[in-house]
Amino acid sequence: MSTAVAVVGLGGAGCRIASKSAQGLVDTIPVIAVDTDATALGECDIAVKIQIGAARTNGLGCGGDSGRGRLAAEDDTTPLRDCFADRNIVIVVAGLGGGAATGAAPAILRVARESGALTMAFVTLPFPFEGDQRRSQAEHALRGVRQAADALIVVPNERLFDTVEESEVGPAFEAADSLLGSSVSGLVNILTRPGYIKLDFADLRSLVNLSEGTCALGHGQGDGKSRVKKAIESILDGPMLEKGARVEKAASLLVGIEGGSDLAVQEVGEIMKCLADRHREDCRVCMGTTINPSLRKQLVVTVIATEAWNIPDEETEHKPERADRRKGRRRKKGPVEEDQSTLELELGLGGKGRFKNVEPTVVDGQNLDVPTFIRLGVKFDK
Amino acid sequence: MPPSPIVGLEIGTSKVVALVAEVREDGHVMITGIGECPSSGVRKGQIIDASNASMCVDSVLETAEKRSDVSIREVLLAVSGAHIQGAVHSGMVPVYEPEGGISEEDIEEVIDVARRMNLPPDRLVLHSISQHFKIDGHHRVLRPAGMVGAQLSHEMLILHGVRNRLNDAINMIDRNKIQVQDTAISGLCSALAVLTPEQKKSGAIVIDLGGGTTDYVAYAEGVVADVGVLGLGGDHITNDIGIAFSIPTTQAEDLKQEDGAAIVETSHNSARVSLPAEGGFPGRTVAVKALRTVIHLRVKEILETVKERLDRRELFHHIGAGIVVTGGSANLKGITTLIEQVFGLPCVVGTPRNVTGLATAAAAPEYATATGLVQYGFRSSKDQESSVVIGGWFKKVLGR
Repeated sequence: MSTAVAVVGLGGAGCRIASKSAQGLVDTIPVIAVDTDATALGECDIAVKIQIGAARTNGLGCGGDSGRGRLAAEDDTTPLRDCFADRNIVIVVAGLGGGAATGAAPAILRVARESGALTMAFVTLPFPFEGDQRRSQAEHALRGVRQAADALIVVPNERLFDTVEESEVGPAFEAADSLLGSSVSGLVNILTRPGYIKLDFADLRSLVNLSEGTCALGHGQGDGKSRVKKAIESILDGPMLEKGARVEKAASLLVGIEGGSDLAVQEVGEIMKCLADRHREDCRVCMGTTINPSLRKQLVVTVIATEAWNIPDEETEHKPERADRRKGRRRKKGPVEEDQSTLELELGLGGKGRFKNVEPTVVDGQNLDVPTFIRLGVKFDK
Repeated sequence: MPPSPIVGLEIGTSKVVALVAEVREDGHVMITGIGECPSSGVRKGQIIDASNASMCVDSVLETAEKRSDVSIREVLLAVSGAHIQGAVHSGMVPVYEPEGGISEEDIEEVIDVARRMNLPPDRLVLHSISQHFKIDGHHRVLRPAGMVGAQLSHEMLILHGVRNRLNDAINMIDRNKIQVQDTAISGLCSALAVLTPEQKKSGAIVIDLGGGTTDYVAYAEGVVADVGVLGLGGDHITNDIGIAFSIPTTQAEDLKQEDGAAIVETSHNSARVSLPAEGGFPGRTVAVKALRTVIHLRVKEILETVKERLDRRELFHHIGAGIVVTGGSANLKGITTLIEQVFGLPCVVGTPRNVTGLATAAAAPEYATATGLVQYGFRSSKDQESSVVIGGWFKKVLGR
């Protein structure tokens, strides 16, 4: 069965990244722009555009309201479903934190899944300076995305902007979008192009299964004689993988090497050796090479490293939970008095409420003490 | 001489119950005394506040003693908690005289081998339940004696829990006065109380939706084939409601019991219920649809988790008699409909069978565990040696 991929750019950032990725992809792979904002869609140079939630937003953005984003996606699932009908992998690219993408990403992934496709999410997280509200909105969405995606690649924005040398706002964002765009296209190419050592989505998924659900991505290019060195340096010294620290910590790695017809076996060996020097001994490495005739004298290396799930559970006291989950160890109970006669009032979003002081119920990596409706991001009129 | 009374004690997350009962030869339970109080210091079936919990236990046992007019010396204890796990362990022995057929000694030996599962030192075996025999790798045989073959293997479902958690519960009982005779997993007790022999034979699943835990038991071909405990229960539903509407736990609990349902009906689109002012909180109203959505999502998730666990053991093709739901949350409106939707199997609410006595209330799903526990105690005392009655269980008394 051939691999039919679709790339969906969701929301403002998602569309920009997807349009950059389109430049590195063959025409047979559809790239689809999805947004609530008609103006932004109009400016986007992706051919296939789907406006969602027109009835709800009047063609404007979501104004940072992720609930509106979710409802928008749920309103207009039919055109999405049509797009996904014959696809077996759907990659959703989105910048989390705002309205449209944050709310709609899990919903769109679910539509893709229901259409029978394997789903992958490629998301960025907001800068710390964007404020706590956007961060928590993004983290909340990330949990939803993680449920609906078979594979999840997370790029925190601050990692991205360390990479980019430009400091002026315009070019810096442009460069960041290009980098992400080429990472996406690099990934798609590895998964779809013919190669001698083939990687497919199953490899990616089994890699993700070994992790706690998220991956970091490194992308490097090189040309000329020292192309191997250049590509490796930009991966291992760049901030996308935290100067290689992600590679060192990863439980498993997926390495895709894309080169022109002049790609030499020795070069592949050299790349793998450079990585082997850095990664853990017990790290599970999966590699693949693909030949892309348009890449003359060039080399593109994409590395996906599994990463620990470090998004806090809805409450901040999450740290000991990691250990708990693995070893089933019981957390030390604090000197908290258990008194049923006082009203235990737990306000606000996200409390584990009365389960604060007991061992969390963790199933498949999710803390099920957190209310189901919060984890699923379901909203209702109270 | 009348049969000596059996006392079952359940230290649950929402309530502590002690039943004093006489069990007739045919398994009929006559309750002669009951003690009950809302639980405190228990979460998800585990003790988190020993002093509060043991106070509850003391008062419950005292009430039960008074009502039944017996002095309680020994109790049976139901245990639960997500630390309880099950695993199938198999043993294999060569048949001593292949020509002469399989002997009782061969059977004893293979059972012994199958029962000896290596467990980490912090774990304790609660029950070992015989599954079936295989001769030379095939045939599923229930009684292999006399059959011919060279190799006899046997599978055993080993149910074990964390020693310290179990002792936490045992330590709630004042040792100077009362001994713990035996412990049994709550879910197994519930199954024992609510299932008919026919249901066991044709295969059934019992889901005990308790306050702190959800226990499930699957019977296949008359034998307990899987037992599990999830650290999720009615408390989670209440907690979700409390958080969703920013109301205190007590109000959330009332709301759940009065107006809650496991399914959302469209006819409730605009209905609202009012919450009385309480403890300084002003009165307000809550949309019924929202309330039921919160409950529906949680209960559905719990059920789906149970289904997934049972799926892993590939048990569903053995289930001919559907699902019996019991425990406190079985009182939730629409629960059977939701279970039928999730599992695609018929579902009924199970109440303890064969029970009479003072408390007609005891024939409600929330007393399934305590009644089953008494029945368990009766059967295990009757069949110390032969283990046929309860589908061939072997049990291990908790050493202290």
